[in-house]
Amino acid sequence: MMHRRTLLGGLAAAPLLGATAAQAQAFPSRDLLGVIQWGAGGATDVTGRAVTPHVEAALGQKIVLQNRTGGTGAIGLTYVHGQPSDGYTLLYGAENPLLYKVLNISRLDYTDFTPICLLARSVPVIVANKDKPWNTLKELVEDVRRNPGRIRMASTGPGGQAHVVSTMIGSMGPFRHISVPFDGEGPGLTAIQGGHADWMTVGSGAVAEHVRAGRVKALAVFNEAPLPSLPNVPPATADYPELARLMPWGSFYGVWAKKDIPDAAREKLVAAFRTGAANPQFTQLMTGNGNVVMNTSGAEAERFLARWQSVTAWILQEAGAARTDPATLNIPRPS
Amino acid sequence: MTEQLGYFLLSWLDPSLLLLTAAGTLAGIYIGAIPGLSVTMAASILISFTFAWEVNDALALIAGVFTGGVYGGSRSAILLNIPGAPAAIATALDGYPLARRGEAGVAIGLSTVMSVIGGFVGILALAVAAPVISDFALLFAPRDYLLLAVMGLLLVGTMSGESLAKGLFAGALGVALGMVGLDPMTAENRFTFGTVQLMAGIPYIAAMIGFFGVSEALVQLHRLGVKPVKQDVSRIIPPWHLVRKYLPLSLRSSLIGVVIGALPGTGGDIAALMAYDQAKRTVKNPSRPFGEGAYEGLIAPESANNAAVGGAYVPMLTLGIPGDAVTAVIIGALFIHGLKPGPMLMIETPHLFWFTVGNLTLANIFLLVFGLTGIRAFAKLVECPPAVLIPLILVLSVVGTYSIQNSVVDVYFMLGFGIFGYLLKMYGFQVGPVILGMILGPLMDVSWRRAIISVGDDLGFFLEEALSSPLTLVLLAFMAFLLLSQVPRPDWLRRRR
Amino acid sequence: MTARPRPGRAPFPRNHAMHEIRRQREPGETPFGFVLLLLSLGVMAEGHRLQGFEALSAPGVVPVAAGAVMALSALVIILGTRRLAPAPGGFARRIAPRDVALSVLMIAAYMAALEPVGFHLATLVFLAGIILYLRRGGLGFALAVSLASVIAVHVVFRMVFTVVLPQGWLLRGILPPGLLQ
Repeated sequence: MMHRRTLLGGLAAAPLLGATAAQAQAFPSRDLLGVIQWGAGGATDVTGRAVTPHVEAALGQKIVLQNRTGGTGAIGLTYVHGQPSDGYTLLYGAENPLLYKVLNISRLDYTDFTPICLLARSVPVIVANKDKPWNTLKELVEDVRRNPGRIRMASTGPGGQAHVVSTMIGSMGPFRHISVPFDGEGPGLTAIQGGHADWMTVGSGAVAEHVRAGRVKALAVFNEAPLPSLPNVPPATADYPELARLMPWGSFYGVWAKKDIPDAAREKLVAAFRTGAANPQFTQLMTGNGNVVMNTSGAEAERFLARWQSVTAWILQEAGAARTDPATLNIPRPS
Repeated sequence: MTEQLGYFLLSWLDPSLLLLTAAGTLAGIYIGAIPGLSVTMAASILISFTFAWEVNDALALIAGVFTGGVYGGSRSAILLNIPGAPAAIATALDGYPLARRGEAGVAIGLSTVMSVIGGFVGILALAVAAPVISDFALLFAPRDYLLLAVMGLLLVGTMSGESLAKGLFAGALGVALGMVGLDPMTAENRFTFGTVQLMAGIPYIAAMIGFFGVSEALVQLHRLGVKPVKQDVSRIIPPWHLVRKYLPLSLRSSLIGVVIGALPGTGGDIAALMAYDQAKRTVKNPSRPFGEGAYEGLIAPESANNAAVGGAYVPMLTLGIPGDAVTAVIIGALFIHGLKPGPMLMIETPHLFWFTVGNLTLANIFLLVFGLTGIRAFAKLVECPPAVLIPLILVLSVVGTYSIQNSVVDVYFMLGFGIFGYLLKMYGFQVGPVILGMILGPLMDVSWRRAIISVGDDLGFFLEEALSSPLTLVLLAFMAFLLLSQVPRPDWLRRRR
Repeated sequence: MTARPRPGRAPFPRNHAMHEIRRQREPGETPFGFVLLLLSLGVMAEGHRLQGFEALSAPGVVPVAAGAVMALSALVIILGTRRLAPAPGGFARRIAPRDVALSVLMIAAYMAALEPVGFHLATLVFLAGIILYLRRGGLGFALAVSLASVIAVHVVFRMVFTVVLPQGWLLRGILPPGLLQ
């Protein structure tokens, strides 16, 4: 009976058959389903697929991975939320859901889920077309101020990394530029290399190789210290120390389950993911790509999420980019 | 040089790699042929279970699946009018009429040979000119993608059937259907009416299966009593003189395939449609009118979509930028295997490049072998009585649609499109333009808006930039030529062929 | 096991031959044209909601353009339809003959049953039923074909491609557990 996964009726039928009690005793007794909210080949996908084999070893069951994309991840998130709260369906997600309510994308977000493990975070890198005259973040910002509304930034859509970082830079003074949305970091980088956009902010994982090959120019890392994978690129705080109050900031990748799954299942999952994300093969892969391994769960993860949401939502609100006031959503102002 | 040859031949000489490539190609053909199973999906499943393997083994398997899968879509397009994959949409336009004439065997044989030729052109371009092609691909600005999309949409004019108005309606409807969902640029909801299901958009595979497969199955119900056409399976392998006759067309189409495949943002489906359009405009005396089973209408898209495979590898191997959805998955696989896809990949791990080239070549040879065997059985499938075949097509459509993203709602959409497509057909519309619009509409939408945003909504600046770019000028000139060639010629000109 | 051959039905309108121009108006063609026109106006309205008339780069620009093309074409289509002479026979005979109408109903019922009954049982019943109907008899043959198909689909989709087919919840407690898997 327990080997069956129903799509809609599980919720109604499971208590009837006493399956919940049985499942809790020996979790997990069958394959799990991992729903990845971003497409195959993306950073969320790669991180998730890289950690899962190690987690499976610790868990003793397979996790069948499936990409359910669309709606900046809202489709996958909504799907997992519609599944029974038995711990058998996991959400492999990124940072985007924290902004769903502010941007009116969905009424669900990570507050309806419990973080099983925050796997890794990436550090935004500010890059420019290699023929542009700027060599530092300061030169870029001053050029934008001299030529308002002329310089093109490639973005990844509202709430994306490029959008938020440019808003954060804009919080320090006038910063009027053209923001051209592309389908993702890859297409954005392509446009930078072709000269169709002048600069953008990209995750360290996606851009490190392009910088190393000299195809694009890295102006700064959006961090308080340089990155091991890009040792010669100065931190953004070197030019603008006041940005430090917003850091650390950047995309992150993790695994969530529904909020009301049984405690026993949650503990099993948290432990399995902690072991899996500590596997040297995984950590090497992550740091090699310029990411920072987090491997956090529980209260620490909740704190990280709350702070990230508060900083980002209020920056968007101050820039007039939020569609719903974070105050009405009870998102506290960053302290 | 000898070193490169060694890497090139690696998968030819290592028995396990040889076997994996063969298995991948064979599996790919069937994955491609079954609607709903996509190469992207197969590649991501393969990556999960090749995690523990050597990277070469994984890449060999994936190259095989990719090559076989792009080709395999033509099988179901020819036999059932259901393109097994989006790249086979153009194949259905003339392939299915061929099968209805009893020439399914010839059609499959011809499409196999032409796919392999296209595949080789793609590989050759990859091996010889990868850096040049990828630099060329980078030149395409949003306005150039816009021109490409509009050029593709001009195909509506030649796909309209009995009246241009009906073709235009169907094409514009497709564009509108392609807009459904969360706008990728502003995250605003378009045509979603507040439902989360629609936020991801209408999966165009569901629309494709409905509009092509189910609607045709319903039309066929009108002639249950008619005995199916006897399939001629006496000559499957196309004779040499036929291959030679169509070689120039195949090579032209392959070049289109390579370039469109190499452009990040466009793939085999658009390449095949553009090649079909090209054939329709340039071939003066087709074997039959296009749309009624012209060999040319089969050869062009089949050459182009397999050439696009080699094209898609170009930006992936040279720049670490995916040329399409499958190469995006392969990039993920390379990451997981500890390699760093990017501009340095070819410089630091040149063996990977030559290994891939060798592997794709091998996969194409297997494609020729597997593609030309077992055609008889496939062709005979169409001789199955309609009272049995139609129900089986319907079930296959349901399962196929469901498996795209495990969604029953998609299945309802598929049926809705099937019934709507049936009515369109009964009232003299063609359904091809709907799918064309669905594929090209989103590209046109984002490219137009991206181009306009880039110039700060300033049309004057837009023109100034467009007219100072040689690439844009060439594309504009080409489009003008296409438009002029579509204007009906006066009678006295048309009479003398 | 034998299927009776059936007499030919109403003359079938040939849509494949692009060059053949239809001379007759099919039943329901004019209302269909108006439905298409309404659809076009709906598309334009949604485009308008998305500021399609206001900014060149608004999300509504392409929907407005597509809707306008649809509306104009629909008008031309309606005018063209009016000029045609009506074809003999009503909607039920030419557009929705019994085979088509009943088949569509059967497919709709099949889809509705997928989630409650589960893929395997629903498909088995649907396939057997529709083959039985379309062949006008031959129960054994219909059952054999449908059983073989369900097994083939299960092997390819469920086992090889790990697609989780709908399992059904209606009959969970009634049927033995192994049957629906």
